[in-house]
Parts: sequence; structure tokens; C-alpha cells
Amino acid sequence: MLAKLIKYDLKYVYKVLGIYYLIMILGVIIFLITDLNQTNGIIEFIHHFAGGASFGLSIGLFFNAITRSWARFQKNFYGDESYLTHTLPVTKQQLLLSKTISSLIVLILSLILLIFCTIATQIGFDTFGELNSMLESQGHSLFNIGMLLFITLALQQFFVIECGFSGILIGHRKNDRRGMWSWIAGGGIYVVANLLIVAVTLIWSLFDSNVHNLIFSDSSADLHNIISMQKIIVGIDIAYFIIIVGLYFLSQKTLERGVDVE
Amino acid sequence: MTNHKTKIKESKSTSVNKTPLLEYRDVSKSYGDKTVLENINLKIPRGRIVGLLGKNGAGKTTLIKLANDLLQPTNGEVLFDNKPISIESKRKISYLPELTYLDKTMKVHEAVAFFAEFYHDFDIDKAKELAKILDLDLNKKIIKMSKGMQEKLQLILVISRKADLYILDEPLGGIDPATRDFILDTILSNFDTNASLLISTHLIADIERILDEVFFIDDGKVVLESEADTLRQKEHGSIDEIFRKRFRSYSAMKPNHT
Repeated sequence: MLAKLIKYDLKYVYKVLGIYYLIMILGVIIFLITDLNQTNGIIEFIHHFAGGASFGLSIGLFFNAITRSWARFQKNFYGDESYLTHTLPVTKQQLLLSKTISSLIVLILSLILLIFCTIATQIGFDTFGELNSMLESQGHSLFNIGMLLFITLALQQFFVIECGFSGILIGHRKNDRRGMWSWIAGGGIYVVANLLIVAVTLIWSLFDSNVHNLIFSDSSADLHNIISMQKIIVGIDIAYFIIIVGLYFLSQKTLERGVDVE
Repeated sequence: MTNHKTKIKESKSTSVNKTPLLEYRDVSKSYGDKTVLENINLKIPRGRIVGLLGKNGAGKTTLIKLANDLLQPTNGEVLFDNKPISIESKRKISYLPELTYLDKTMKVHEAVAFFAEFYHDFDIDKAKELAKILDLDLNKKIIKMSKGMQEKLQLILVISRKADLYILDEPLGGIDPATRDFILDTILSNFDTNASLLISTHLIADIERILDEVFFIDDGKVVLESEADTLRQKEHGSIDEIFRKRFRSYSAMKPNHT
């Protein structure tokens, strides 16, 4: 049943998002093709327009993935479609898990497309290759750094989505002004969780001089210490992961208490 | 119609299991200071057609939503086959809400496929046949259909299941008077005669001919429960007339709060 729920969630989202993806990819293709011949003024215009539009769409896509997840969640759990959602022969856990997994899939695919678009239209594949060579000469791997940044970005945005889900579930326990309470609950969770991560990082810096130097030092040597930077990022990723898992279980407990659909 | 109702009565007379199919025990529902349902005790027997009748805002939909896990009681409990509402009850209850609850971006055939995937008791051939009878285009998007057509589609999806309990909340509300009889006949012809049917409506005159039992609900309380035929004989009138008389007199008796 879980697979079926995920299938229908993704089908719904990609009815619109799929078109968005296609337009972006088309824009990148046009940008790359017109890059080969910029002697013509019209082609040069198309080249820059396609590049700018694709990049702009990719940024919008990112926020679209998050807000669309929230909107779908609210509609399915508390809107008119909730009359179908909550009467399906599935558990509350399956309902929540399907939304979580489908949101994660959409987020990751959108992120991949965003990165591809950014590299293709803003950084350039040649520059990318030069950056890789420079890092390799210093004993670092662009792939490793890239993967770490990708995971960090995905975790941070998935955390935002989970804040929204938890906020919606908590806000809808109220009898009135559920929308307002959902925003307050979700925003509150976001702020508190981020403060917690900052606090944990500061405490960590008391025990680890590399982390301490990276946060408080003015020295450029410390700021360019990629190893320390990676250490902090991994630490923050672990913190976000723990918080996401905690938020998921909070949402599950809230949902298991039952819904009150208007 | 008479033959069908007789057929239903005959199948019910052989029913052995006396446990109510759906039961509300001391159920109350409040939203803050506002009480919507108060101390409801109600049993829906097996193999019966039960009318839940009341004015708008009486609490009929709230009562129905409690049985479908869409609301939680403030007090009391709702039991299906003597057990709390759960996945098991959702497998056996086929529910038609008052509003359009389908994803409107779907086409008719996609909605049919959705139900077939999630409900093992769904008869896809029956659904397609009913769609043809009710003149629904399988390739049309739900959002492009009129409200009446959307309601017909939902009705088809609900009665194409072989459920133990069908709960229809205002099934005739959006249907034009000329089509109501046809819809009612379609419901009766296609639902499992061993199942129970709970219909909530304020259009009593249209449905009373099919009812075995009636519950009148007013201001969140059950004010009358009776066998339909017994009530007609006792009060010498139709259920619709009895309802109008009863609620006219209740309105007259209630203190003026203005």
C-alpha cells in the first residue's frame, strides 16, 4: 500500500513539476547549443535568455518543491481530499511515510536539476574541470566536496519540509485559525531547531580547536582549512539528520492521536 | 422497487448475527465550548437501510465523520463490529461524503483505477458499466465535470465496492429532482443486500420509501428512533410529514435566545 501511496503522490506532483523540468532542460539545451555560435546577435540573445531563464526557473523549482510538498500535505490531510485519504485502508504511519518519501524524492531530483543547470549555465563545464584539477593538486576531491555540499543542501531543505509537515499537524489540533497556528508551529520548530544546532556547534568548538578556529578566527589560513570545514559540515549534517528523524516521530505521534477534519 | 425491497427484507430475516454493525456509545463531540453532539447512543443493525434524518446543522455529518475516522469523539466511543474504528473497518465501510473528495486533476478512468488499487472489494467492471449507464465519459477530467456529474462518479465508486456498510452523506443533494429516483434505484440495485446502508439526508420525501429504520437528530441529540413502517402506522403519515410536524413543534417549543 505504501508504494501505491507514493506512486499517486509523485504522479500528482509531476503533472505540473514534470513540465517545469522539461522547460528547464530545454532551456539548458538551447543555451549549450547556442554557445557554439554567438556571432549572430539574435542567437546571442537567445543564448543569454535561455541561460538566465533556466537558472531562474531552477531556483524557483527548488522553492516550488518545498511549497508544493506542504500544499499537497495540507490538502491530503485536512482539505477536501482528506475525506478520501483518511478513509483509505492504510495506516497513519503509511500516509505520513508516503508524503515524507515522495517529498524527499522530489527534493533530490529538483536539487540535481538545479545543480546541473547552475553548472551548465552559470559556472560552465570547463571551469568545473579547472576547479577539479586545482582541488586534486591540493589533495582534495571535488566529487567528495560536491557530495558533501549536496547532502547538506538536501538535509537542510528536507528539514524545512519536515518543519512544515509537523507545523501543519500541530496547527490542525486547534479548533480555530488552523492555518495561522500551522505557520506558528512550523516556524517555531524551525527557529528552535536551528538555535539548537548553533548551540551544539558552539559547545563542540570548546572541545575541538579546529572547529573553534574556523568559527572565531580571522586568519585566512583557518578559513581555508578545508578539512576542518568538512568536519563541521558533517557534524551539522548529523545534527540535521537527528532533528529530521525526531520531527518525523513527533509528526507520527501527533497523527496517531487522530485528525479532526473540518 | 417493491420486489427489490421485498428481496432485501427476505435476506435480512435470515440474518443471524445480532451484534450491531456500527455503534455509538455515549458519544459526544465538542469544539471548545461548542457542543455538536451530545451523549449519542445509536446502533446500526446488520442488513438494514437506516435513515439519519435531521435539519441542516443537526449533527448528521459529524456523526458520520466519527464513524470514518475523520473526527475523534470528545467522549465515548464508536465501534464497528464491536471493535474501534481501524483499517479493518475502513476495508468494510464504503463512504460517500457530501463534498467532492477526489483529486480533480484525475480523469474518470484514473479515479476508477485508484479505487481498484486500494480496495480489494472494488468491482471495476461494475463501475465502468455504471459509468456508461449514468453517461460519464471515462476520459473526462473530474475538474471539467459539473458538480452533479462529480457526485455521480463518487456514487459509482462507492457502490461498486462489496462493503458491509455503505454510508451515504446527502447522496441526492446535488442531483436534480428528475434524476433522484434513478439514482436511488441505482443505489438499491447495486449495493450488496446483506450489507447495511446508512443514508443521511434532509430530502426525506425522496428516500423514505426505501428506509427500514429512521433516526431523527436535532441539535446534536437523537430525538427519535423507530422502525419506518411502525412510525408511519403510529403517526398516520409519511416520514416526511412526521418529520416536518415534529421539527415544527420543536421549533415552537425551543426558547427564543435572541
